[in-house]
Amino acid sequence: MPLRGSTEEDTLESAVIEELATFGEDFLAQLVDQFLRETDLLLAELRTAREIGDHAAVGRIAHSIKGSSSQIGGRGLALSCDELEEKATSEGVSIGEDDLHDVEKSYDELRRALTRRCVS
Amino acid sequence: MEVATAHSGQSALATLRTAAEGSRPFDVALLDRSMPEMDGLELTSAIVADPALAARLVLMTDLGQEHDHGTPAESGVSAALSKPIHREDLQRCLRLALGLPIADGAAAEVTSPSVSRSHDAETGRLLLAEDNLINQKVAVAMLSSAGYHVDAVLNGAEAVQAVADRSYDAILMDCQMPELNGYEATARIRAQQVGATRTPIIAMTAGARPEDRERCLAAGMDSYLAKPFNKDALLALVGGFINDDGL
Repeated sequence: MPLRGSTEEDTLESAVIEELATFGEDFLAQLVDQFLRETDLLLAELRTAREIGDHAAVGRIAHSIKGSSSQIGGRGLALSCDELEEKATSEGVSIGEDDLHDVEKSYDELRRALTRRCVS
Repeated sequence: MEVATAHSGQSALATLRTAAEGSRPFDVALLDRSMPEMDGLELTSAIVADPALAARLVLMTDLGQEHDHGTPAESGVSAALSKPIHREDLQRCLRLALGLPIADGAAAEVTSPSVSRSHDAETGRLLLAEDNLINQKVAVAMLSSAGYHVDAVLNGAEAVQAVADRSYDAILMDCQMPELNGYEATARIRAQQVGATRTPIIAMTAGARPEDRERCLAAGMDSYLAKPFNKDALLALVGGFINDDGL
């Protein structure tokens, strides 16, 4: 997993998203739309899972978001989710509000970058 | 053709309602019969009960479930489709649901941008077992662009059934899937294929440690592709098995 930074490239890897665009801008737009809709739902489920202390569900959801975000070039979100998944699957480690905040902040950045790319 | 996907019955209902409220209702909804929480039959009932949702329904069933939803007229389903899904059958069902004529050799009017390019260059049939719909969509686009015909399933149990139903040139297997994970599915497929042709199985996993690779090979998989993958890496690995008979 690459290191997280704060540049645009850390948020959205241009080589990955441009490779996906080779299958057509319509394909990319649909893929991004689907990713955003699914991630919105998963983040809501993630918050609920943390609130009820269901670490297994937190780990499973974080793994799912990590998988899809990394595949579309969302490096920062993938790393946030990787860290959360690691915590969720470690014994005796609590998951706090800050952990979710990191994931949500990374997602907001990725959402903006994807939206910019798809409307440009 | 515009296509949207949903990962659950509730999500599908929300998507259908949003589209209907925006005066852009869906013409057809393809529903999986076996979904957790709200299954395909419950979803069918919910759609039929809402007059604002005018979508015609195609129900995708597992083998053996073809007739447990009643007749199409009774259930509100326009057509039923048995898994694994094949392109020709899907086209036929969509035409049936839309009330279009069905003719042998009919032009492929139902294609995604990713598969339409592959029509003249098909080089092999692959099974993709991947529960993450985004990753599934990306992998299908990459493989289809190179001419492969791809059957996609969402869990290990469906993969085992698909392999029992027909032969594949190679299988791409996600390791972490619901119901039956990739390791267990591989073991069952290998047990099915004792004395028969051994289909190459390529693991797809986010685990990058050496022990992840060892676990894949120990389960009976032949190779390993780390996620996230790019098109070149995916096609090189699959092509190695398809063109060089596993070498």
